[in-house]
Amino acid sequence: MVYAHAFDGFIWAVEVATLTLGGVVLLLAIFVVALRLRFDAVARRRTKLIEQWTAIFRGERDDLPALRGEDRYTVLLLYDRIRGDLDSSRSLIAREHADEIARRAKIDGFAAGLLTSRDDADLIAALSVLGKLGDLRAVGPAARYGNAGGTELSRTAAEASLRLSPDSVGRVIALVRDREDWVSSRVESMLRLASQPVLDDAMSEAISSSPARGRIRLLDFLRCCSAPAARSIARGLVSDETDPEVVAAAIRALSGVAEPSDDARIRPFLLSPDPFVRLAALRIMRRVASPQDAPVLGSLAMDNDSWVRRRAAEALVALDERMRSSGTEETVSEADPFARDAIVEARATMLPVPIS
Amino acid sequence: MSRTLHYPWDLIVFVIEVALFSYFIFVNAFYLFTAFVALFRLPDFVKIHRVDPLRSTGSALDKPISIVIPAFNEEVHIERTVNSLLAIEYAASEIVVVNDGSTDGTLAVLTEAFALEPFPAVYRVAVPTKEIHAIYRSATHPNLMVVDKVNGGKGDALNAGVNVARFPLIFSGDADSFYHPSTLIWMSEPFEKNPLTIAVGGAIAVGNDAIPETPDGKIEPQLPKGWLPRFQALEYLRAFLGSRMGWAPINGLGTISGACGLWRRDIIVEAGGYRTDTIWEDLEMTLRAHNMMRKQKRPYNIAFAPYPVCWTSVPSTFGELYRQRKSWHRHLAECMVIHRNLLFGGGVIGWLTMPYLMFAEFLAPAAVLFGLLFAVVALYFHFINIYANLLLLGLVVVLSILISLLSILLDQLSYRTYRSSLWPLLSASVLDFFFRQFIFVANLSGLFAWLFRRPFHGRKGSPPGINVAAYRPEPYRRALPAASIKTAGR
Repeated sequence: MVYAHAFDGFIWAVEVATLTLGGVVLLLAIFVVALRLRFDAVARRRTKLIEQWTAIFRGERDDLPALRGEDRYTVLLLYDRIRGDLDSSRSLIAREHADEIARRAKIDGFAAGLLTSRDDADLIAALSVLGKLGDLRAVGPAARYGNAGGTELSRTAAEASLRLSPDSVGRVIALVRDREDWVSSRVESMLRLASQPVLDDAMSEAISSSPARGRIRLLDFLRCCSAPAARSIARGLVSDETDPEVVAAAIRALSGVAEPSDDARIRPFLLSPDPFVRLAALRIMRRVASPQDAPVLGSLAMDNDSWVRRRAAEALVALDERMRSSGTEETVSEADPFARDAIVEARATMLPVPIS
Repeated sequence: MSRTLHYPWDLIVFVIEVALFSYFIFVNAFYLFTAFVALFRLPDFVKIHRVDPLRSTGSALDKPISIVIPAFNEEVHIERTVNSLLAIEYAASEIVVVNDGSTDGTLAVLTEAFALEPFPAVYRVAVPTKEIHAIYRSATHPNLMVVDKVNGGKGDALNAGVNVARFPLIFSGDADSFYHPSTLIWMSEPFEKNPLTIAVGGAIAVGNDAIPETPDGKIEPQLPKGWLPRFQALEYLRAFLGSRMGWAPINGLGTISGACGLWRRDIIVEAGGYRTDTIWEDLEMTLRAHNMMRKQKRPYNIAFAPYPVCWTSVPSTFGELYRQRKSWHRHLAECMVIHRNLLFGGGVIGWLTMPYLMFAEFLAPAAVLFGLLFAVVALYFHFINIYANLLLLGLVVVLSILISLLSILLDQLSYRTYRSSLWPLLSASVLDFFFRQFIFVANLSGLFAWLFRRPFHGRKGSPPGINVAAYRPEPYRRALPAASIKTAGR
């Protein structure tokens, strides 16, 4: 009998579960449909709004319609996007016009209100917009969230700090060094906002005081500094640093700003026991190698590391191009047909492909 | 409704009923668990990226990516696929299409469309492959290379692509799929944010019908018109948003789809490359990566990017679908045997993912078959109550609809993948239960085919996803010769 009771209890439980879940399914279906209808309506409205306000921010329309409460967030994000695009353009007038419109539409006040939100997305939107508007109400929160929030919030806060207070560059660079979760390309765009002399000094100081890992991270962003400063910092590390990874990073950083005089500084590194250092040195030699480097480059074209071979072959072909000669194959041994093939490949890669 | 139970037969019946019911609860608990994890994670993820969108900056600091596309008899789709890849906005990428011994005009189409020229590429043989005839480079798009090789199956083609690829990240895609211009920006983000990331999977949507573009270049995919692709569209939502989005935050992702996966090249090479003795390669590669990293006690992360970046063509007839699912289940069976050591081997992969794959996926057809046979026998001998069985069937149907609706809800709260009306998707979620019975039959057939080691043959003109070379099971092997350097055609 105990089984019979258990069975009845089981059936009762399944009945209740089926009916309850059936109800949940019905409610969920209604909710999904209602949500979709609402989203469709919002999307239609948003499309019109974006069209209208894009024209206003770009100065294609002179009127400034009243902004309804529910539309402010959309316009705030639109301003943020348009203003972000204008950052890379040289048009100061366009930027100032967009800022002026945002202030007249009271986007700044709305954004400042969002600073008290606990939602990361709201904080990101607010800090980004207030930073672009130069609104000092964001200075405190930007400093607070710079190293405290998630990846996107902390990076946006750091960017707002850079825009709002030029003396924050040193602190932001320290954050760049420590926050390896910040996407490098976004950091690069952010650092380009800083004033160059200030950035040069701060980067030099940060690199000199950082451990090896931090130096390697920061050397990636040396490209944001002025060429003389980048050259000076990279040359210093190439001369004094002993950690091969840092040396390789410094040579890579130097490659973008190297001068002909750097070839003497770099040439010894072609014989480094570390393949990363050899590889980095070859980057520069590709641009500055002279005919007397050909034997070394020829031996590197037969290196154990495949990437060193490839880059050495490219450097030899580039040397041929500069010298208007074609003797690179002679520098590699007959016994290494793959090195010769690498030169053939480098030639095919570096020279334009004939269109038949 | 109550019945009189007599020892011992009724006790046995009762125990079997409880076991089957427990199994049913176990399987659905997994589905609901991942769907609810996704429900908590996805809206926040979407909101953050709405205010802080990832956009191409053209920076030289972006991690360079090699896109590898294996192609076998893809003359119909290949041009469109490559064009969509060329339109990808990313600073440093190269495209390597591997023509895996196609017998149709795939190579001719590529040569014609992209002005291919022979290219003397030198590449490193990090993983062994079938012979490469030649390598070509596009005269119009220098970052497009085509490798022409002897047919060796998809895994072999991917390995050839890995050898020729120059960059540290490998994006593996399908020749019959269409990719969003922001695919690489979105999918490379986890590598930037977490240095422990070894692979990232992307979400796939069904793109059987036209993918119209708006005048501003935005892609607005429509829900497929046929019922069968529509069911699969719903199934993909369940699989990617409802399931993988739930597994990824706990580092329990079991599959990086072969149509949309971004891998660290060194991990693929270290693992010995893609296997060529299994029907498919994606699940096996993912499990092997888990296995390798766990054995070596190295911390790692396998992430998921929920953006619908890849639109693929799915089978549109029952025959094609049957063959596809049969082969998928067979691959699952192969992987469960190869990586059985992962089961209960610790970590999320050992305690959650593998038990899910083993019991809720691999053994599901056997469990369902046993349940059906039990029901028939029990009904014949009047051991069980018809009402109780119908009730349980009702519960199964309701749960199935609930899980489908949760996936549709997730999609609505995130990317609203399909811009057409919601009604076809909702009606599909109601009828999906019957579709799943068909899939059960295909899976069961795959299970038997694996058990009896029947040869598997892809066929010319077969649907996307099963264009593989003739397959005969071989003893599992794993031997990696020392790396060497080769030139194409040498």
